[in-house]
Amino acid sequence: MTYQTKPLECFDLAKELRARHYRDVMSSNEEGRLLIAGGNSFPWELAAGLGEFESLQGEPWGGAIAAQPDLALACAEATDARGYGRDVCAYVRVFWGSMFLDRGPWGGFPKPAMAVALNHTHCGAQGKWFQTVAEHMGVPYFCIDYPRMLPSGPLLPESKVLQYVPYLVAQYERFIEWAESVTGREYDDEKLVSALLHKRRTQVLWGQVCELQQHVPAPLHLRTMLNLMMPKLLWGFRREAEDFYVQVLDEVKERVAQGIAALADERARFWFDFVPSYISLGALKYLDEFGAVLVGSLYTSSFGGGCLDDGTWGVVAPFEELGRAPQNRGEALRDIAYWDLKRDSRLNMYPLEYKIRCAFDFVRRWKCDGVILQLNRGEKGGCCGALETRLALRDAGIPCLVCEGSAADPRDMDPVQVKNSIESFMESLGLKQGSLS
Amino acid sequence: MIKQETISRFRSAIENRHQYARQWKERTGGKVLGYFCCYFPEELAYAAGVLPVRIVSNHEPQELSNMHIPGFFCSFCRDALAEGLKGTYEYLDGIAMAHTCRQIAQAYESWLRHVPVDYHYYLPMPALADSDFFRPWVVEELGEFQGSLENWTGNKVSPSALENAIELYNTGRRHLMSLYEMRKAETPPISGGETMEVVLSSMFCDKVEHNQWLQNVLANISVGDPAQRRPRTRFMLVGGEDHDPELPHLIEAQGADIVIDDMCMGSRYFWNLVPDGKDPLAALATRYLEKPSCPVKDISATMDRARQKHLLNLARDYGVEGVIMVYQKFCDPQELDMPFLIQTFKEAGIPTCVLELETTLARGQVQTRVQAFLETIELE
Ligand code: SF4
Ligand code: SF4
Repeated sequence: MTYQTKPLECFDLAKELRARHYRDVMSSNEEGRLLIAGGNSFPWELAAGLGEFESLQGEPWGGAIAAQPDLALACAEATDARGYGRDVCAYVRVFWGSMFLDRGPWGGFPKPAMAVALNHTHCGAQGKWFQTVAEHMGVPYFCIDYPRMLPSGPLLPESKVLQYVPYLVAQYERFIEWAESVTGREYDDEKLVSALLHKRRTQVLWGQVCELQQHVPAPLHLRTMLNLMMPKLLWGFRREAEDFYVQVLDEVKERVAQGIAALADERARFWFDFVPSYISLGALKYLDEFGAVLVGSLYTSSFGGGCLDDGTWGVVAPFEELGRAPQNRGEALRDIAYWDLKRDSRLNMYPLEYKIRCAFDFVRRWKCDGVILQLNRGEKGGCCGALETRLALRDAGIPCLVCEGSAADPRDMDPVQVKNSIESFMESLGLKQGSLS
Repeated sequence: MIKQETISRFRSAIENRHQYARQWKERTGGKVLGYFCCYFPEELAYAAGVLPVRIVSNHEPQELSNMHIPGFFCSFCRDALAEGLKGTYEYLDGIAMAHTCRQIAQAYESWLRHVPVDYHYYLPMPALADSDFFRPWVVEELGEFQGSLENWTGNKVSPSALENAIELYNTGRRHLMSLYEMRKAETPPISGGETMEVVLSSMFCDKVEHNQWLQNVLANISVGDPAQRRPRTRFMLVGGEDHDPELPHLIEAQGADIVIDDMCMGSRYFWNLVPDGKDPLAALATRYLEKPSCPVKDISATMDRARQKHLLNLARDYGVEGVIMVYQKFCDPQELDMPFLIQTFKEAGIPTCVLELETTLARGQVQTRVQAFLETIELE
């Protein structure tokens, strides 16, 4: 069967928004805007109470470097030269290299006014990452500790979530006090509340886009989704982000209604366990030739939802459904903490049992023929649980392909090998080359 | 100096650790709990009548964990899991860990999926060393863990039982500190390799027994006469989960003394005492929050790095002339910390040498590196 296909209109807008973000980042010092360096997992809506600011986020900056292999190599080597081992997260290494060399995807490395991190304990690199940035740049640093809990049963009891809400809230309060003192700005609670409302709406909208991928044929490629996610990643707490995802959702709904496919000859559907590294995307494009489409990933879904109490994945609940939106700082901070703990946006780092349950749910409801997992040497946090997930899926008769790679270090990536393993995998499933797209 | 027959008791406790635990169970009727990483509050388990034993690998090449943990995770976590999969730890009634590193947590999670145990417990433990701020949560967690142990064992942990356990563990720590103190001497009476055997064995034995052995050592050890042996270059060993006494023995065989360490299986295990206090859980929380940081935990809410200060103090107090930094291949927590520490030592005028460790010891490589390092120090 051949499906109708056409380019996504929002795609160019996503690209433009991303380009604009980096223009703003690069000009922030010149134009006197506050620039904060930090990890993507930091609750950026917290910083919104400080007023206008730009974020220099580690992982997207690392991804942008990865897109330019020569730059990625130079940055990775600059970090090697300072004595850091190759096992340190590749995003961390290229980000640091960019800082050491004062070279980046858009020219130099912009000097942040401060550095922040959420050490989310699933990945101990986060705290050290920005501690080192702060030390090298000579700027103040603040780190929040996110607890890691492994429940005795498969899911985290509500009592445990509630126990840790004050743990995070107390640290958020501490951050606010610290940020006021280092910036000299007065924290504006209304801005925090409004940022949280936008963030939640963008989460819900994005979660709905992810759900629409259940449709056959899939309206989007995973690679398109990764691009569409950028505004959410960079400033999902702004009104502009919300407006953008309203458009995205409308367009994707339209595609579903009209049966417009990402791939004209969609013959097989696959789930991606975590996040395909930027430098493996080219190799994964090879799937198109077999009529195989990647319909989603744990990573992309984690920005719009999480594991529900029944072990399935669900979109984050909108405030409308909960009956009341936060009105003040205390309520906003509790809400951020609660949802981060309850339906952890870092789903990719979930306890193993959650991860496996969700993997089955994704395969079933997204109608997948198999799962592709990547052992990303440059991102160990994301590899945790990958092999156990594969074992569980394999035991249930779900075909899996494991490929290796790196998030950002071209020396640890072999696109030819990825292509070869895709080819064998496709053959084993009886899928023949010969794309119509 | 220390007699070989005194030290052989510790050596054999390491070699026969599994047998020891089985016999302990038979003798006492108690349960044995395996744990990973030294942030685990053993005192609580002991107070509930449980013998906590540290799970370690066996330094033998293996492939069993390949299906469960990627090859680029550290060999310690891969090999420790393999021991579980092989059935070496079949006598364990349960496993537990306090949160430290993500890689060892993967071994823990895989263990739970594939190795049957009656009981398991994962204790959240903040990554930031800021004891005043985090203590209330850690106290709450310790209380929950205590309740869970009580349910599992049917033994109520009374305040006096906990205080006794704390005192027992503190006694062991004081003994080990006294032993370490002696290594400040110009010709230390016990080698770094022997010390590692003493410390490591304490993680597998009932502290009542181990403390007696330690007392015996302390009663029979004397700081030697420097005239009898020429002082040798003084090294500090800094690293992670290396627990192969072969390594310090081999380093020392090149003509140096390891006089101090900052290792998981060395001083980091016992360095600080549980302070006195009315509330034993709060005192326990303080001890684990304030213990010398593991690299994973050496992050503060703001900038300070606690390890830097601690290591420089150790180097000064023990008259360290060179630092050997060892890390498990693929251990990113150590890799993230090393350049900073190397720079720290450089600024303090102390040279460093880095050794990468795998499952088995690359003897030839270690010898060559250490000899070259010694030569550079002696030339200076
Ligand atoms: S391993 Fe993953 S979560 Fe950790 S710093 Fe790297 S990209 Fe971020
Ligand atoms: S700290 Fe290093 S050696 Fe220890 S378990 Fe983690 S990765 Fe392995």
